[in-house]
Amino acid sequence: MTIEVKDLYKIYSLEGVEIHAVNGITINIEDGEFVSIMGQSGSGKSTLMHIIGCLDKPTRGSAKIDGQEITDLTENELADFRLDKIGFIFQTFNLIPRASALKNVELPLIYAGVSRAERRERATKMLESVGLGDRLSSRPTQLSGGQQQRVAIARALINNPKIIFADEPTGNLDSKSGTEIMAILDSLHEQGKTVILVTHEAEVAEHANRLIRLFDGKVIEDGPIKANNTGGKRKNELV
Amino acid sequence: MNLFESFRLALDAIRANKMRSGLTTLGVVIGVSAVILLVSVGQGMRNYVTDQFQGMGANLIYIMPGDIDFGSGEQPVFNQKLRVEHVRKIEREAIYAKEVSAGIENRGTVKFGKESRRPAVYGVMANYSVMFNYPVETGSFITDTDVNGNRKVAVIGETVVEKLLGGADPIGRRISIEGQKFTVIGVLEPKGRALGMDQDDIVYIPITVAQRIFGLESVTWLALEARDENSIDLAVAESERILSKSLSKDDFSVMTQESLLGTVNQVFGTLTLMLGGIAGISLIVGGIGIMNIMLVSVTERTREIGIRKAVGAKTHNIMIQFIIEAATLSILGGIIGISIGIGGSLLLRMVLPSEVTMWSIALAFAFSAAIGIFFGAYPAFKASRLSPIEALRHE
Repeated sequence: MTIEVKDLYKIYSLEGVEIHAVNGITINIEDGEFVSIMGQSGSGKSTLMHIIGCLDKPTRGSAKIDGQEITDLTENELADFRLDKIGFIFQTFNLIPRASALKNVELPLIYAGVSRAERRERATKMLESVGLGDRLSSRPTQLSGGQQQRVAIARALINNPKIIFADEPTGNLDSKSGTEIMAILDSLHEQGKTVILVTHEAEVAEHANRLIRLFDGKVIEDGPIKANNTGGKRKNELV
Repeated sequence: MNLFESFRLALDAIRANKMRSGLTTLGVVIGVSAVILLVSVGQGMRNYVTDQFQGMGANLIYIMPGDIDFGSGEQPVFNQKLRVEHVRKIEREAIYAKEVSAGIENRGTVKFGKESRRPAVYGVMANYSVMFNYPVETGSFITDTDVNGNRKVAVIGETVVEKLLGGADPIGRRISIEGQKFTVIGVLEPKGRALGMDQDDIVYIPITVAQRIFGLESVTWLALEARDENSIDLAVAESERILSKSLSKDDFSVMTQESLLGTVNQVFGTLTLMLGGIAGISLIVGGIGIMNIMLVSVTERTREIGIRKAVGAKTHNIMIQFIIEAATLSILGGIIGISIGIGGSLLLRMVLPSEVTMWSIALAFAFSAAIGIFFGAYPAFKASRLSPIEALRHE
């Protein structure tokens, strides 16, 4: 499933000041690629991800997923697109607090119209595959950060999407949990899914094959990952 | 996603906030139970009064003083120009009237020994007992001789026997009414209580005597009994013609059982609607409470809405979820309110006639559901329109 972005702009007006969050971006991402998008905060990396993740609409420009122009779609058509083709993993996990792990994972299947019994079965299997088979009825608050992120991953994968967007997936996790999460993303890439990772951590970004660096809403670097070209801070450097 | 799923989601959300949901529902509970309770009282009164009129005999025609035709919408006129001599006139001239009677209704001080009370003291004619199906239990009723001879005799009700005479055999006893000595000649069959009034706390005396002791010329009512069902209308026309010779149109009102029932139905129908309407206002207030809480809930759960949208919920999925939640709240309130309304009405039956009607239950239920949907619609619409990105950013 390819992603083709051409001359994409997203311009906000914040208290009368125009902000060019995405300022003319053109990129192509091939099916099965593992791409890191890096950049300082405010560089437009999250906005770009939201647009190609069908959560937000650009001001102008073109974005095609699998040949489908997504800028033409209505809100409900975008919802269908997200449901069928895209899985999200967020920095803050974004689980529904009063629902159990199982119910959180079932959520996309409810909107896909899958029957209760099948939902339960698929969500249980998915949670088992991320190592949470014994925490099905736990609420997010009863789980560690790493466990919550694994629930979120299970939810992202439940409807078998082709593209996974991960927005700072390790940002709120300790290094051990972060490593576990990245191992899961690596294996998803190996299974042939397109993985798009937004991060500012070098060690995380280096899991990808390709690095796209943004600055002020523009692509300033795009190429294969080489050791030490990510330029981000390393954990041991933070100390 | 089907409605059943939405309903389960709604129940989850309601359970998550038990206290708040309970208090929100309370408004609807009060509204619905008030509607059912008040309508049941209105309906019960109407049925009671209707029964009373029907028990009086179908061929009776009532003539009341003044112009008090409620159905006409005209301003009523109150005066006291009906006399006993009008009874005599109708008796002489009417062809279609089998019996003619008149009565004076008043209250008076009745004494026996040291005991004293103020029961209803009615002056009636000899045919009263038969015409109104009001037989004596012991002794005899007032006769024509008693009326014509101004005899000071009295027929008393059960309560007077018990409270005034201490339950002693009353026949032949001397009691005083408004300072005059009367001989008790009969005791009426007990009738029980109605609308909070004791119908057995009563003393009947000859109408002629009542006129003297109360110093009245006028009578409270005239009544006639038509020969048969077919001559009711003829008897009405006839009595109107006879009375018009000496009275003007505003001095008397002729009513049949049918027209009285019509009036009663009309009056109580309006009353019931009014009571229901007043209670309905509290239902609307309850609905506003639901809207308020749903708006709070939408704001609180903005992030949840964002999450749902991010994983593929469409606009209408969110809309339906919140509408169902509001409707579930108010229907829950409706069900509780109906139970309380029915229970309350059964309790109330001990003191007032009350009758729970199916239509008030159906109406209250439908109304509570409609209120949930109506007042839930705006918050639900608001929720469904949130952009997923904005919603996810919400703290």
